[in-house]
Amino acid sequence: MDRVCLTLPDSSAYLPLLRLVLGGVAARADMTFEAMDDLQLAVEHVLRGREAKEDQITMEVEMGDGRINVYLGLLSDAGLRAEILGRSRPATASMPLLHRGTVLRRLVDDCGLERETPAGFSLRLTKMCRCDG
Amino acid sequence: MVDPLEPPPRDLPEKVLLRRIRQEHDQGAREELITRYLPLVRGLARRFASRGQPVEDLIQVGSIGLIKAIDRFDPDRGVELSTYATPTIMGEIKRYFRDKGWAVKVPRALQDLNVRLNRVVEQLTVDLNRSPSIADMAKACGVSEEEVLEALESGRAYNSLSIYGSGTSEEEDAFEIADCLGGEEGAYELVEQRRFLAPAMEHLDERERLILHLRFFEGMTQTQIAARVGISQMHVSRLIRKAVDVLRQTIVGEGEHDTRL
Repeated sequence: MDRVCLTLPDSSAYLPLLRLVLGGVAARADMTFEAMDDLQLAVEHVLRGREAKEDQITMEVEMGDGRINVYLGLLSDAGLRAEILGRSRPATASMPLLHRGTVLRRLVDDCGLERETPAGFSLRLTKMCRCDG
Repeated sequence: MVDPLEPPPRDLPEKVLLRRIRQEHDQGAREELITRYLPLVRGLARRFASRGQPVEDLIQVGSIGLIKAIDRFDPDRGVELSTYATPTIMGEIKRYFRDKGWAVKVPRALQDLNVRLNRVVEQLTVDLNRSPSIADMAKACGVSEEEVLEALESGRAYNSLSIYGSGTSEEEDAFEIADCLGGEEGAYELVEQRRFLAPAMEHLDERERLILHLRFFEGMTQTQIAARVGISQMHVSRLIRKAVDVLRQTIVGEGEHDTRL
């Protein structure tokens, strides 16, 4: 699988750059526009909803087998981790409509925690290239 | 030399004024027609009175449209000036809203490509019976894939001032906060969600609430939502992002100082 890696400061000023890179990879993978948009929104929603800040964020994008895997890390947000693991229920989350487990289930085909370390964890988002509803 | 027997422009029929403008470039006739049609401009501008822009500004913009219409009008085409002028005035006002919606300076070429992509995505979705790829969109527009991605990204800088208002679907009147709560939730959790959701949802208009409900609770795709609500898929995407941003800022209390990714 081809892999593209981007490390940048944890600042909202770099979000457009993240989206452009992700869009470029999606285009190479012949992903549909709707699938690409869902994936970009998923990445944005994960990153913008965090309570814990990092010095820098790494996004690795892997493409092949008709899908794109995005790895975001290392993240230290305990709330995000709990929501992804299903240990935080939407009803009791501080922002139920924005519960990341709920939102990601609609936006991506699969997500999970990868590579847990004392410094943080890496989050994987998987999206199929063809989004046919 | 002004003929003293000649009636002033204000007393002349519209057809005479139009002939004078076309054949003699009569500025007096032109100004008289503009004055006569200003009530039309005011009436059209007032339709957008609740869209966040001063009505006087909209009247000025609409007047530009009126002037363009008068200058371009061909009375031999067999239509009335009012019929011709109305869409020209409306188009000028809508272009004003579109330009006002760009939060940052985006080159005109990118703005225009973004607008074209809006139509192209809809057409390709019908033609291909699926969401188009970036390559499909680039080919349809005759530009590179990179330009498409750039234009799509520049579109994020666009805050669609809803010139069409929120009344675009009969669904919206029926939508209640309770509709967005999962059916499996217990009564207590229902109350909890209402408590957290209600204040935030008030910051969204009916259409934004409906779209969030359809996307994240009904699981509809953007294409399906676009067909249901009667707007373009790119517009659905913009509204989802905007609504999520509003909710996040309202619930989490993100301020302008929050610069995290």
